[in-house]
Amino acid sequence: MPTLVRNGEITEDAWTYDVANASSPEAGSILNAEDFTKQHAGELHGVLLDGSVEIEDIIDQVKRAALIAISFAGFADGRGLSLAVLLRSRYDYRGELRAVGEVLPDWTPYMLRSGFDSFELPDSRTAKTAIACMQRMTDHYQGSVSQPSPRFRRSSD
Amino acid sequence: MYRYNQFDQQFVQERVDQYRDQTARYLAGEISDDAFQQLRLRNGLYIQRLAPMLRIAVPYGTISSRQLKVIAEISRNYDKGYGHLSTRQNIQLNWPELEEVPDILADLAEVEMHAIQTSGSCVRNVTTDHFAGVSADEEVDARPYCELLRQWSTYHPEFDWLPRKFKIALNGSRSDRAATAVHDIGIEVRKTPSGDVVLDVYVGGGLGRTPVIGSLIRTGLAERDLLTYVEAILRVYNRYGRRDNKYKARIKILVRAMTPQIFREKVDAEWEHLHDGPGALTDDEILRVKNSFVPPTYADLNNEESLLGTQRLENRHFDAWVENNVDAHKQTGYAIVTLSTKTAGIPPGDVTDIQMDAVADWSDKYGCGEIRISHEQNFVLPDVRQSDLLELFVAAKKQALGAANVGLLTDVICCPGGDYCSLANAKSIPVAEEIQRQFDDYDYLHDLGPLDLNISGCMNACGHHHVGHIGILGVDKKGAEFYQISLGGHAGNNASLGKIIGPSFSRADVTGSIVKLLDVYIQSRVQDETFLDCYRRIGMQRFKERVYANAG
Repeated sequence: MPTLVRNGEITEDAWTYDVANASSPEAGSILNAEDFTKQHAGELHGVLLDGSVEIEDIIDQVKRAALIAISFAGFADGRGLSLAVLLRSRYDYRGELRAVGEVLPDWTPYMLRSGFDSFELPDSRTAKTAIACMQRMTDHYQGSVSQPSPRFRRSSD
Repeated sequence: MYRYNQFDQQFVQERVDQYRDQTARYLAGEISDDAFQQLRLRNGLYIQRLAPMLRIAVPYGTISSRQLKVIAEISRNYDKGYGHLSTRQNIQLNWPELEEVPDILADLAEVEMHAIQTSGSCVRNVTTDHFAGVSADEEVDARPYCELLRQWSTYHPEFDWLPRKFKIALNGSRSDRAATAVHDIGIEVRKTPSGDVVLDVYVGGGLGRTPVIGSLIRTGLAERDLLTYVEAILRVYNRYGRRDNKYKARIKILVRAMTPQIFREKVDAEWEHLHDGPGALTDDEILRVKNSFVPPTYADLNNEESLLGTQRLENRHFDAWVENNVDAHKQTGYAIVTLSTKTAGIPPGDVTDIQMDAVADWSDKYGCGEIRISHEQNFVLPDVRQSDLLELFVAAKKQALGAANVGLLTDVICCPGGDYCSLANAKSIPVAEEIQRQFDDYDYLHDLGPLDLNISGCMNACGHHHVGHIGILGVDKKGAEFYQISLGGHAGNNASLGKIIGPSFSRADVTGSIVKLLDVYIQSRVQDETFLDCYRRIGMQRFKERVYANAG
């Protein structure tokens, strides 16, 4: 069972993946993009996207989801980060943005700053490490989803 | 040069603590080898054939005497007392212990240094003209823009996990000494007639297996748009660059697949959303960084033409050194000195702790405490009084840093090759040494004139063989080391890629083949035509005929 970190804490996961591919999915289930679109799922559902998705083509459908999970195919595959940045800053997506797949503790600070607010870690030990990793650096040079203003606009030192 | 502010200092220290924690968790078995590899690479640590290698960042090749002394000290304390100047203007240590690297990084942080992003699939050390700020032919000092890019790209939340490494070079002089044409992004910094600084952006150049000259995709970009435009390029690359094959993952492949025109349209569409956003540079920030590159206080001197003339007449070695290793300075009475590391028997770019200390001392004594590292793997002292040149030359000679060969055949660019690197197909250092020994006669070298000979031990082209006037590439033929020779490459203005002359040569035949190629040049040249110009005029055929004349 993966362990969920949400808003900086280990949290019980209320969402389930809809593996049965039901014709009328239950509230609180995460569907793949195709099913989500086909079944006109909405704000009671989540959608799972791959890092390689052409978000421009499906944004109108997936934007109404309460949760968007982005799957990382490998820990060094940064496409999901750009996808998250676009969802948050270009399309103003306000729902839960969850990192799933190859999510390792030392990668969560990048994800957090790119707009993710929840993370599926392999187990509770790695989840605790991830929380520590996300708290380590005090500030950064460039702007990000979590701090849109670059440091040079905030300080005169 | 740029000095850290309180935040810069805090940042590198936190990054050291972070890496110390990562190393501890790795050693405790909590991080897999594969995952830790990615983490250590982003702090400059490779695991090589014989030992780990730590690549220390020297941002755009500028280092202070104090910093160089600390690196000399580190090489004594943690290594074997020497380091290596890389073709990305960095300094590498070849023998550190993995467990001690956090301590080395902590020592570096004390003097405003780090090893962040000197390896891995991320934005690497931004490079520029090693004469930036002092060269007589400079239009704009590119270093402030390099520093702005360094800060922006450091620990970037979105772009630290790109399909492949990403190299940016800037140039602000009439002579392109930064090889901008063969970088993922190359930026020409220039002044408009009204005095504004603008940027011309090239994308998709590179060496490696598929050498490409970059395509111009934007001219006249305003300074304030530097970071947002680069952000747009990187977002397109991060999303669409290939991740299925590392040999096709560089941005040059994407640009070629899309065509430069479509790539440009994608970037422009992305940039539309960014250029008025918070990422745009402010006048204050540009000024703040520019102000940290104000020239040192120069003395009011005269040019020393007659003194130098007499000294050169009396000492032909000094005369040759001034001719090749000394360049014109912006400031009257000063000169730029290149200290060549290319002496036969010493791997190109290798420098001992004693040499590093000596260079640091000379920069304090004869200059302004600043040193540059060139991508040709030499040291540069940017601010030397002309009246001190002879004394410096004599001192440099004693430390085997006085070779009068900058820009000549024996000023070889060479990767570490099969002696150190686990990627190499063949050795490169012994090939360089053989060539340097063969051509040790200065009069002959001088007669040959400007000649870039570049050697890489494998297709990854760290020795820039594609842009050598003569390029040598090590290849593996059924377990034996062979060498492919190419002609006509050039890294500067009007850049070009070398063409392979024909079948590869055994190691024993490499130097002999170079001798034949140079004979063809000497017999074919018109007046003082350079090797490159001669090749461009007469083409490959005559060289080819001579070099394969007795084969088979």
